[in-house]
Amino acid sequence: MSSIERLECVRARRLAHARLDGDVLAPEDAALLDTHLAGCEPCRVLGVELAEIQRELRGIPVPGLDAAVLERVWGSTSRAGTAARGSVARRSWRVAAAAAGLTLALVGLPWIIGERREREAVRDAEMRRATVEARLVLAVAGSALRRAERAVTEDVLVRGIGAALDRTPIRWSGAARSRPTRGDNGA
Amino acid sequence: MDPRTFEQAVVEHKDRVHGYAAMMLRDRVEAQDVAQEALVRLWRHREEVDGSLAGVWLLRTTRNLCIDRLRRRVVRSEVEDGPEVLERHDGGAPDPERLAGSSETGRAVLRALAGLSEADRTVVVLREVQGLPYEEIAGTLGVPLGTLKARLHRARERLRAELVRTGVAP
Repeated sequence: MSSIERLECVRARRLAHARLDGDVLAPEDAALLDTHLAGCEPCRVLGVELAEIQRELRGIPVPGLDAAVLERVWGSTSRAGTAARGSVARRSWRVAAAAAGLTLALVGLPWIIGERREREAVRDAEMRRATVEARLVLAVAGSALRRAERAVTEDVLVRGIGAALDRTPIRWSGAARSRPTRGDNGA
Repeated sequence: MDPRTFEQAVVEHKDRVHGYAAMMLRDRVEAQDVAQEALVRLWRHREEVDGSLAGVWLLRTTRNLCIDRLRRRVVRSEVEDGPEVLERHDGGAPDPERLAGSSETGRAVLRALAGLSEADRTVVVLREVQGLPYEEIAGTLGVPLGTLKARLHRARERLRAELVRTGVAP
């Protein structure tokens, strides 16, 4: 292998590694590499083998951390960690409570005010209606009372006068001066 | 870093941390211990760690813990069996190897990976196995991007050479 060939091999290997790294080669570098690999058996074999090794390495399953070990980690940091986690939780609750309060204030208060206003409006209308009805009832009652009063008065007057007339014999002549007695109707 | 960020960092990075430890140590119990230790250390150092860099901090800590464990293994091996190469120590049945299934090539690649130096293995595991972005790996290792790529290229070729040496051509 001449020094020029070795220089090309060194450069080609560097480019082969860059390709394995995922680098995007410049067009002239890619052409140089492909041309070299086509004519250089050792570099071509090397490239194939490195790619095969990389594929195997990437297929190695890496075990994750056991849940029990993670629990031990939380346990080791529990005194401050739990407090911190608790404070985080408390802070979250406080934020949630504040958010709920704000929502209630923003949404609920107008609703409550509206409800109250609506209730007050209904109450006013009912009061007005009830007042009118009460006035009507009073008017009717007053009218009835007045009618009754008149009827009673008339009755009393009529009966009283009638009874008085019954009890009092009317003598149209001046001769009779004696006080009339019950049952004595002058017959 | 506040407690909530810590919790998010743990949930986000726990599998990555454990996976890296499992690949480096090849021992399920030790990997769990290291992952737990790294996560608890993050809690202890939460005041000093920027939440946005928690992943990098965790991986760096996990790597240091793995290196400590590997060194202790060497000391034990030297006492019990005589000198051993740090990276050649097999810490028991590795989970990834068991999980690799029946692929002979897959098992061979795992064995060859175990034969690499800690630095090479770290680069290959983080990039090729776990698929981390280059920038994150560079941050974890504290090296420039170019250096990282050069190290990865070298590690790939060493892995291939290891496979050839053991007679398993991909």
